[in-house]
Amino acid sequence: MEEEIRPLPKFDYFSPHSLHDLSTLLKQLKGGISFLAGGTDLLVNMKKRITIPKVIIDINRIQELSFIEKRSNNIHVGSVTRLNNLIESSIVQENVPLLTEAIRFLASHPIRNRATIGGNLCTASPAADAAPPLLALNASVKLKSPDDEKIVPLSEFFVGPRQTVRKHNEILTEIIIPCEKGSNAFMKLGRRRGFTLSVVSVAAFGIIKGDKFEDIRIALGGVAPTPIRAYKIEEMLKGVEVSDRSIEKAAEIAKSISKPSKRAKRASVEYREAMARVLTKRVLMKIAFEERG
Amino acid sequence: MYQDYLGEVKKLLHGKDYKVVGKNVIRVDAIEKVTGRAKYTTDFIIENALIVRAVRSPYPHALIKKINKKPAFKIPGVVAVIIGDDIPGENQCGYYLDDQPLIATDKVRYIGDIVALVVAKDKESAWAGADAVEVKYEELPAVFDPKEALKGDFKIHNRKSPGDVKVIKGDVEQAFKECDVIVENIYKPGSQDHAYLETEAAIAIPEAQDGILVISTNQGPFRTRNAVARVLGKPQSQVRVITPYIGGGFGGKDTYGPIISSLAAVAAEITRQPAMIVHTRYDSFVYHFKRCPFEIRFKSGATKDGKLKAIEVDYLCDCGGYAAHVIGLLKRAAYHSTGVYEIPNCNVQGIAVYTNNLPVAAFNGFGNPQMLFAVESQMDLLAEKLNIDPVEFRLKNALVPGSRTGTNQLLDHSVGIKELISKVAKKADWVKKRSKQKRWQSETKKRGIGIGCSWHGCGTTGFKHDWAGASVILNPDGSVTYSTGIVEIGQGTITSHAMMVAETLGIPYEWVKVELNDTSRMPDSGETHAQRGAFIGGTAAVDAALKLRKKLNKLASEILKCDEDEITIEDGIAYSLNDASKKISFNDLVREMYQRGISPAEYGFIKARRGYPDPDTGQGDPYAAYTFGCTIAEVEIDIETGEVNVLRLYPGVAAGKILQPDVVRGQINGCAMLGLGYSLTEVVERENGKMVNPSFTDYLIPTIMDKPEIAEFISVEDEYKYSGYGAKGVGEIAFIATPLAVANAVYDAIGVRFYDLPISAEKVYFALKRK
Ligand SMILES: Cc1cc2nc3c(=O)[nH]c(=O)nc-3n(C[C@H](O)[C@H](O)[C@H](O)COP(=O)(O)OP(=O)(O)OC[C@H]3O[C@@H](n4cnc5c(N)ncnc54)[C@H](O)[C@@H]3O)c2cc1C
Repeated sequence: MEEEIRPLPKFDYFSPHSLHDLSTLLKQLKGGISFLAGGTDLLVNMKKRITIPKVIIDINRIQELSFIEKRSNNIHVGSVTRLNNLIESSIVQENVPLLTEAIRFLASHPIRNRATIGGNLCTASPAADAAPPLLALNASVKLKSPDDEKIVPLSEFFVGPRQTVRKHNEILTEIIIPCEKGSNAFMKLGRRRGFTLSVVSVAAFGIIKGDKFEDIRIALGGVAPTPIRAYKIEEMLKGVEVSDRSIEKAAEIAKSISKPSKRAKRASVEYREAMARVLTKRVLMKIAFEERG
Repeated sequence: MYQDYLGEVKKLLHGKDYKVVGKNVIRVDAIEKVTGRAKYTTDFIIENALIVRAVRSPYPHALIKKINKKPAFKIPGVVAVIIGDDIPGENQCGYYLDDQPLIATDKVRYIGDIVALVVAKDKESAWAGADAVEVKYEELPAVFDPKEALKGDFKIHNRKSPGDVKVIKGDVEQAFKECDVIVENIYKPGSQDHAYLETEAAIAIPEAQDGILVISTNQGPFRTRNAVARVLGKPQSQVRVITPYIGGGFGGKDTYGPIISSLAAVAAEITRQPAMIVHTRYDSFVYHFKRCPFEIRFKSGATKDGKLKAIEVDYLCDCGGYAAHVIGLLKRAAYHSTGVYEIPNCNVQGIAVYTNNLPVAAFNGFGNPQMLFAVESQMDLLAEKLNIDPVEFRLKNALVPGSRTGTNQLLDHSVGIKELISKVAKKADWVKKRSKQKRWQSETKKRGIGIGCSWHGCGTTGFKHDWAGASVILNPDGSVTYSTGIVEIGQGTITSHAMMVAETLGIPYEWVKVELNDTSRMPDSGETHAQRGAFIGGTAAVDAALKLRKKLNKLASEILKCDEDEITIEDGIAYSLNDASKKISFNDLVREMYQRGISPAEYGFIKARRGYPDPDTGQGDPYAAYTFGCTIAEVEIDIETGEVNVLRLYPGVAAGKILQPDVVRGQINGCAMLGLGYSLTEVVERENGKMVNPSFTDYLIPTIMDKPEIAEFISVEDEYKYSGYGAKGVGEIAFIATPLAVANAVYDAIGVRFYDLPISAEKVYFALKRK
């Protein structure tokens, strides 16, 4: 049953201006902390009483968290970068167009003006639209606590619906995306055309040499408790001839590895599994088509 | 009493073309709406208004054993806690039947039934107070399926049904024996949320002499006034309802407007302080009443030459815990159950049944979308069996002037459906696109085309009165103050009224100012529903303007020393048709009225020209006139995902005179989108009668990206004599036809017929898999 929307609960509020101030603050606070980025998930969850933080740390004033840069062969994106800024960024468009494509139709224009990339990942919704492309692109995230900093591959970041390996006093500071030349495809199936949560989404990055799949990386959203990489498909396709049969086989695997939660709303398990197959097939066909012309 | 307004106006204008009517003037409210200056109910909130929060039942069916107000008063901001016994007047807010207390006292009948109101100084206290009120319930067995409710041992009210309807004509049994093809199916069109941008809200302010002023989101200012007067135990004169612009109504605020207004009014009366209540989106989704789900068994038969002979229909309306709007929509559905066709033998029986679901509201189409979904599916099924093209089959049976309806009403004029079907089919290139041979398709996509025809009686259904007033004041500078009892809910009616007033007076449209709707300046004008805003309300405007125009003509003829018949007034100049140099400006003419002591103000008032069908046979004239609609839809279906993509819609109406084409186009395109939602994505998911997808994330109205190409609408101007400028209504007709056309197009594409709505991608996917 959908939770009632109520007035916001009471909370303490801090708004540090730098990562340094944030560290100092985090050392003083005990727990019950939520970071506030765009607030498009957090505030809704607070109104529904799914999250009742004691303390809100607004990270919107931390300039250091808002950037898009290319360093050597990686794109670095600050966690508080707004989705619309990402979509408009020529650095992202040129180097990791798969990400642009995936978030272009996420939510609506006004939501994308506020929503951040860090928020999308930290919410860890099984249907988060930024996750499958970033998984397929081998992205990783940087987590920073007051006295530590580490880099975690995104494939190890999600642990369950709305759960990640991030500890309460760690902030996601940036996302690191390796740049590679190849073809991209993203497809999202929602319940209507615009402004819709994905029922199933599939993102793939691929290189084809001659008639064979040289390298395929593919990730699915909406088909499991977390967004998942489909390693089985990747292994199966490696070095295999591009054909209707191999693609069909890959699509079948997508269906078999799909384990959507029975409690998930919005679509039945059977439909999600079937759509994992259809979208995987279409995504691979698009890559095959693009690579071979 | 029933004037040939069309004839009178034409005479006055000496057969000249209209100067204003039929033109694309800028809407009265356009600029302020697009610039964000237009004021809606919550823009009128005054400082220090108390906040009202309802305590609602968590049980679908239970006895109220005890209510303890005390804990709420522990919250510092709480000012009052109001229970049913505290209501100053009568604790009753039923729409057609007196079966609904405003605040339940003995038992609750759906999840959300109101048991108390908490009135507080601020929002937080109001919510906390509502949580704190202790209510002891004793749960009763609840029922959510109307068939079970009818059979089983459930006692929601002291009777199982709030009402029924019959339409009996000819000899159905005999007629079916003479039919060559018979089709019988069960249809289950579902519920729908109005999903308007503006949620329900009301502000009540104590006024002088013990009066009370209510500003609220409603579509029936007079019904709202009467409802408030009733619960406050005041005469109607003591209650004034001002209705500002409304952010979408679609019928929902017809039903819920009086309720939400009464809640604010009771709080303001008891505290003698301004009080307001505003629904959150969640409240709106979960608690405001919605479209009535139907279950319809429909049997129809035809002879092999393609003539319809008989229908036998029985249907159930699940009205939820209270009757609310069900009786009207139940009857309307029955009176339209022949569709736009001549059918000599009918046996139609409908019954509304109480359950513990959320009660039902008026909603665009008012029972017709549900009933006509069955009618038009049956038409295609019959056509297929008869091996006749669906358009041809419809043309063979369509109503024409001189036809009699299922209620035996004689339609002597204004019956443009036949011409409309032909024109829409031609525009859509039906014959070519319907042919299976040349049709485009791919491995994963299939296309189809389908038609849906609708009709909708204008004005309220013939078991309730239907009248309206309007007033026109000519100011000394020649400007005009116009007031109407009709509400601007976004549909554009007030623009049409202003145009008709201007045309009738012979002045530019811009000279007419339309006042905010205020019940204290107008006789009871009924509700803004049932396609009656321009049709009835607009005719009252013409009635008032005509009275003044006659005075102006007479005065001008006196001043210009010529015959009254010679006078015409155009663009604000009165002159003699025989000698154009004999002229006087409108301003001077009006000033002269004042000088000579001729009243420069008039009220108009009209009553719909119709009857009251016999309750046992349904025979009679339930509506003054009918608007007709026809829509053709082209769809493309992704057979791997089940997605239905509506590519193109070709809408058409026979709605009499089109007063303002842009306004009508707005109505038609908006209706098409509303219809698309009902066709494809909108589902009110329920548990124990309570909506469980109450957000725009999960209640899926179409977005602009879902909008198909909508062709310029076809209009057959089948003018109606007894209304202003021959206009009929357009607000509902184009909605009704959309789902019918889409469902028939889906069948054409994939050969699967859906007997319930919406046709979601998942449903199509599984249906194709089974096939
Ligand atoms: C109407 C609507 C439609 C939507 N449609 C979509 C859609 O189509 N697809 C989709 O994927 N999502 C959708 N969303 C969800 C949401 O907008 C996105 O997930 C968005 O990217 C969240 O970002 P945010 O900055 O608003 O997060 P916030 O709400 O600010 O934060 C979300 C969570 O992450 C935590 N957090 C945020 N930033 C950090 C950080 N740097 N370090 C550590 N923790 C952090 C917060 O504490 C909170 O728990 C929709 C939301 C709404 C309201």
